[in-house]
Order: sequence, then C-alpha cells, then structure tokens
Amino acid sequence: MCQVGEDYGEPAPGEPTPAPRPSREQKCVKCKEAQPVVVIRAGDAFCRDCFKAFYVHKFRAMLGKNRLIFPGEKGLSQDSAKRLRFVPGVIFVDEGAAFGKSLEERSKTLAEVKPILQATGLPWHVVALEEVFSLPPSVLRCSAQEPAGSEGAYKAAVDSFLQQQHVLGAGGGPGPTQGKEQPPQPRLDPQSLASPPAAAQPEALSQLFCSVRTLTAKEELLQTLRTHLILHMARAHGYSKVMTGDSCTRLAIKLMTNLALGRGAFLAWDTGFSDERHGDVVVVRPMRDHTLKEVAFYNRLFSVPSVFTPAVDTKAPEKASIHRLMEAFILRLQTQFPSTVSTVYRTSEKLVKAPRDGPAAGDSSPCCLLCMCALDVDAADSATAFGAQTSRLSQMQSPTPLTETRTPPGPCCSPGVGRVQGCGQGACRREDPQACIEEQLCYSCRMNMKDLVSACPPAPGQAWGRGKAVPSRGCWQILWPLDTGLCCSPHWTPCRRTSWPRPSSAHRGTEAPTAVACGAGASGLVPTAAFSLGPGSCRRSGTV
Amino acid sequence: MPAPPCASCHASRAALRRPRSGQALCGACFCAAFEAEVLHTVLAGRLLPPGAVVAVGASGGKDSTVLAHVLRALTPRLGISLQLVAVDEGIGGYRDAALAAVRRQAARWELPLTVVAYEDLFGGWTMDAVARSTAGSGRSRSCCTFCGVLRRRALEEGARRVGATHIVTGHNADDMAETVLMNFLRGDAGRLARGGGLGSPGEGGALPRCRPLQFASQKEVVLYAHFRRLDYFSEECVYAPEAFRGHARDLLKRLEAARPSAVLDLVHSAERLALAPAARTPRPGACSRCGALASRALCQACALLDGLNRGRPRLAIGKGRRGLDEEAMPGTPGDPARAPTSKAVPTF
Repeated sequence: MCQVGEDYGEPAPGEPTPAPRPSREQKCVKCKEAQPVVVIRAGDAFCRDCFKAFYVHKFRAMLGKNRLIFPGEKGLSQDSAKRLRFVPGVIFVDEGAAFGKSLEERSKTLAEVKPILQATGLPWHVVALEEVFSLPPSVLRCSAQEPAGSEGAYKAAVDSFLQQQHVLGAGGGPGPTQGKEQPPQPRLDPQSLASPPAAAQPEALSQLFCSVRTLTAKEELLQTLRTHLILHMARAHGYSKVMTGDSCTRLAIKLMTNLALGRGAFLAWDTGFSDERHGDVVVVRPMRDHTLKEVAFYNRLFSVPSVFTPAVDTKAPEKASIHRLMEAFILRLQTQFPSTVSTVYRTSEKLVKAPRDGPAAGDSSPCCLLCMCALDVDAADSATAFGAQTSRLSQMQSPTPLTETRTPPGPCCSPGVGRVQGCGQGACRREDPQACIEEQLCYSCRMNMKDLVSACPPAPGQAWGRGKAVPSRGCWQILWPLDTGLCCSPHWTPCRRTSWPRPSSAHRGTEAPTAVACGAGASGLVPTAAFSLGPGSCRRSGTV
Repeated sequence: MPAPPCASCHASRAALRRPRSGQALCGACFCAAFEAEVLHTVLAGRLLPPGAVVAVGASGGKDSTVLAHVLRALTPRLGISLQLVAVDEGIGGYRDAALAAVRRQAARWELPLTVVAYEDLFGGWTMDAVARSTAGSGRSRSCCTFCGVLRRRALEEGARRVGATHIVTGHNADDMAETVLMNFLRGDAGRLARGGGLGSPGEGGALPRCRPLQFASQKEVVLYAHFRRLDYFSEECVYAPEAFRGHARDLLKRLEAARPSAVLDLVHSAERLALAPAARTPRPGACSRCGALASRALCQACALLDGLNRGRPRLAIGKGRRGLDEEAMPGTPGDPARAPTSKAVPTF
C-alpha cells in the first residue's frame, strides 16, 4: 500500500512479501547462458559480466542523459572507441580531527588510503578538514573557467568506465599541472596546500565540533565544511566539476532528511543530478540511479578496495540525529514495501530548481552564507511556519533585558530582500553580529546555528572590523571565509557570486577540468566514487 | 521543587512548559497565548473575512473540539458566525459515540448542528460496507482513501445545506507534517503540489477551506483542551491501524523527540516545495455527474462510488483507471430509491 496510484498487489502489512526466489535452473536474464550471481530489483538475476555491463551502462546513461560532462580533446584515443573523455582526479578529505582522532590514528588511515589512490593511476589529493579554517580569500574568486553549459560542444561519446574504481580516498599531491593545457587562471601555490596543518587547527576543529550540541547539527556542519573544502580544492586545481558517489538509496534518505530539516525549497539542488549553486564548480551525482545493493555487489564482485573510517555518527543510537532516524526508517520501510526508495527517487526527479511562487530568483536574490541557496524565509509575522516560530517567541518573550549572548527573539529586519533594513528598534541597533549573520542564513541553517554554542572565549572583535566582541569564535572561523557580502575587513574585497568573471570565448572548446568527489563516505561502508575530470587526457592516454 | 512562576503574568505558578519554546506558563496565560496565535494565523492569512458563515467540520475529536471552542471565543473579534457540521461515516461502535460528543458540545455552546450521513449522500454506502467490499483476497483495504475523499464531499454538502461561505477543519501542525512525509513516501506528486499552503481558496465553485490550527502542535492542542476542560471523544477509528499514515506518524514522533522543531520544519518544507509543472494539478473543471470540483471527467468521489457500485472497488484507485469509461450502472449517488448493494462481490 505504499505507492499511490499503484495497483495494490502487496499483501496486508505485517506479512513479509515472499520474494520469488530464482530457481536453480534459472539463467541470467540478460544473456540467458551463464549462472546468475546477483539478484537486482525484484527478481532480475544477472551473471557477473552482464551485471557489470548493466552497471556501467547505467552510469554512462546517467552522464549522457544529462549532457554535462564534456569531452576533453577532439581525437579518439588509441585504445578504444568509447573512452570517458575526461580526466578525473581523486580527492580525499581527512576528517579525523573533527572526531578527536589522534595523529597516529589519522596517519594510519591515510596509510591505508594512499595505496588505493595510487593504484587508480589518477591524480589524487589529500586534504585535512581543518584546512577549512585557513582558506584564503581567493576561495571566493573563481578562476576563469570554461562554463560547463554550452550546449553545442557536447559530444555523446561516453567512455568505458572500467578503469574507474570506486575508491574512498584521495591523495594529496603536487599540483597536476605538468603537461596540461589549461586556461590561465590564478592559482594557489600548491605547496601551501600540501603543507601539514598548523598544530592549533585540529584542536580548533575538534573543539568546534565538541561545542555543537546536537548530532544533527554536527552532521550538517561537517557536510558544509567538507563541501566548501572540496570546492576550494576544485577551484585551486582548476577542476570545474565535482562528482560524488551518492547512490539512489543514500539520496532517498538524504531527501527525506532534508525535508525534515526544513530544506524543502532546496531539495532539487541537494539531491538532483547536478548542483550549480556554487557558480563555477558544478556538483554532479552520476551514481544516483544505482541502489546501495548494486554498489555493494559491484565492489564485492570486482574486488574494489575500500577503507572504513568511522564517521561522526558511528555507533550513535538511532534517535541521536535526524539523519540516523531517517536512515533507519527508510531502510525498515523498504523491507516492508520494496518500492519505497524508488518511489522517493522518482518523486525527487519531479522537483525543480525554482522558488515555489514568484519569478525565478536569478542572481540577484540573496543567498545563504552556509549552503549558498537562495534564502527561503518569510516575514516574521506571516502566516507560515517560519512566522509561527518567530512570532511566537517575540510575542511571548518574557520582559527580561536582552544580553549579548542571547539569541534575539527573531529577525527584526526583514531578510526577504537580503538587506538589513533599519527598523529603528533598539534591538536592531544592537549590532549583534550573530543576528546579522542569522539573517543571511536560510531557514535550516538558522536552525543548525542555534545548536552551535561556543565553548571558546570570544576573540577580540577584529573579524568584523567593528571592535565588538564576537560571541562565537568557532562560528566566525567558519563564516569568515564563506561570507560573501558582509565583510568589512580591509584584507579582501567582498565578492558575491554574481561578480565572478565569466570565462572568455577564447577558451571555448577546451575542456575545463572537473574535479570530484567526496571523501569519506558517511558510514564508511560504501566507497564513494571519487574522481575528477580534467583536461589533458593527452598526457595519460593509457589510463582512462 | 516548586514550579517557577508563569513567565507571562508572573503572578501564578506555571502549570506547563510550552513544548516548543520551553517557556513556563500558567494555564490561563497558555490558553490566551494559544488563542492569540490562532487569531494571528487567521488574520495574517486573511482566512475568514468578517461576515463569513463558517462551517466547522466537527468530528467530536480533540482537534475539531478545540477549533470550535477557539473560534467561538474569537467570533466577536472576527465578526463571523459558526455552524457545526458533523459527518456520519457509518462506522459502527466508533462514530456513534463521537457523534454523541458533538451533540453535547453543540448543546453546551448553543451552536447549530447539522449531521450528514454517508448512507444518505452516497447511495447507502457506509464505511463498514465499503470495508467489507474492499476486503478479501488478502489485500490491504485502503478504507482511509475512501473515507477521506467521501468525507470531504460530505462536508462540502453539509456546508452548502447550512449556507456556509467557508469551511474550516481542525488539522494541526502534526497532521500537516505527517501528510508531507506520507505523500513523499507514496510518491504522490499531485498532492504534494497542492498541499502545504494555508488551505484552498475555493476555485471552481467549491467552498474555500482553511485550517486555523495549522501551526499549533498536537501537544498544545491537547493541553488547551485539558486546561479549558473540554469534553471530546478520544478513541481511534477502528480502521486506523491499517492506514499508511501510521508509518508517517511513527516517524514524526521520533523526529520530534530528536529535534523539537522538526514539526514546523516539515511544515516549512511543505510550503516551499517546488514541483515540476507537469506534476501540478491540471486546471479544475466540474464533475460530469455531480457538478463538484474535479480535475478529470468524474470527481474522485463519484469515481470511487462508481467502482464500489460496480463491484470493483479498486477501480478509481489504480493507476490506469481502466474501465471508468465503461457503461455505468443506472442510478446516481444520493438517489434515495437505490437500495444498498448486497450482492456478492466478484473477486478480481
């Protein structure tokens, strides 16, 4: 009784569906010759080779259908007519510091990961999560890149994917610039990225995570930091795309989780195939059609190495966070109604990247500082859920004097137009940087920020150049490199997303490298595909 | 340890903590705050203009009881008049007791009450008869699908009989959150596109409907009923355990335990969902049989009844809607001359 509109063929709830077991004599449904080794979906048995072909075909079809990955060079390489015409790199984010792991444990993990990365033969990068604190201001300026979206240049030849192994790692390494033709772009000195993090930074990171009250907010924070770090690496090394290994199951869980977190407006960006909210770097999810079972079986059948690293929610009880709850719920419901994940996936395909009503936001609408989505908050007094939350607090607030450390009862300035409108009330003239920051966040990021309580003493308020004490040092350290509009510091000029230079037409035709991937999978059990695409396939003709 | 003083009046002892904000309030201040918030929802959303005749869907349960009570307290402020409309679905052992509660409330509040029965409106089909008809061959019964559609039709009919201009129902924030979870899990893109707002404005001749308690959490509704000592019927419908909504409800309770703001976060998500134009409902027309609002040739109620009458209860619930264009049996719903069908249901 799960799907609306579907003929009710399932038995009454409570009785498990007897799955039709393939009989011993049944052959692979595709080639009808070999013995099947794995059952996909509801009873399709595949043999080893057909399964591989099926898996690879799905991957190619996903890339080809969406026409976002551009070929690198014009000519065909020697080996095969159907090669993936982009060159990926692989990135691994070492998040050990966030969980308080010691340096030995982290280097042990890295030692396991590096051989896997080296074995792929692709350029690899290792970066530690605490480097997000030292992101230079140039992270906000995108390099002059070829836009990925010129329709005419796409060619439909997508390559065999067999060499792309699904690995969990990334390796740090020297900048992969030798021998590549690239459009000139401002580059960071690769040495500065490869240097080991300063001793204080892992401490700061671990303290930041300890100061977060709920596991939900921790997971969201981790995701935000990781995303920004990967984007930075992508920009620094000239990649234009980031591929993540989210499978169908994971995306269904992520969609429902984001729904529960208040991100209903951004579901299409969070779980769709491509995510262009960061401007020059596009996040794509080519594995979104593969279920977790298919990925796991692929890894097992073809001996794809993987490394398990504990994540922030490892061994956490089920009700510790929204993410865990939703994962357990979906997986449990899936056993009872086997079409749950595919139903949610199909619904997610119907989502569009537009605000519900009103004209398309375009570049002029304000964006959330943390997640870069257009703000989705309403006026404080409107008849909406947001209004209900804020107006209730402001109405019933007991008349005690507001201290600097207290969260203000609600944004007194309408954030709808992205500007702090002076409303003349005393609260507004408070110059509370926390309130001003909150007004630049979307609904769900505000909810998460409420759980970020600082355990560190406030730093002298040089961050804002206003001489006020900042309440939460940890928060500001995150938001410092991310803020695109509020900064008044003389060090760097505010740089909104819209002001990034558009690439010139001289670069048309050369493929901008696309970088990828997400490092440590959340529970570590499923290796995430990590590869990035870069130009210069000429230098590695035999590899890809 | 004595309770802290009320945070609002500072006079009496606090009797509860509000579930979401954790604020300690005494009973009277809490009820005042609750009523103020409902008033704010109605005014800010411009739901009930002055002079409206408002039909309150009263089921005898906590939500509609609280709704009727609050609206009655707010009628001088809003300038509206209230009518109670109760629906008798014909569920034995459940609805009779609930209706008795509604009658007591109507007498106490001196509000006019109208009862509409499925049996009269829909050609003798009570929910028990529908359940019998859809049972069999081990399939899940989907009674709630029938009941929901038919009840809305019945409510509309009852509202028309009393000359109402608006219909209000007692859905609270938890109901809205469960609905969006349920619709996602079932892949109901049409309902996802329609829901999430403040109710429907009433296009195509249908009466505008709204839910003034939309942002009140279920816990607060119960607390309000407790502090105002309201008499309501609190048992669960006999068919409720079979409903899919139970899964969504279970999930919502756990989410709320993990994060108290989850309910309003879900409502916010529902408001902001952006679905593809193809998934949105087509322009509404009129049902060819009864004239009610419909997006296809037959409104859903007529389609469901059609299926029941033909002995093929799943006719309107399947994806293909096959067979709907076949020759229909004579007699329209609501025809008093029609006897309830008691012949054996052929199995499919």
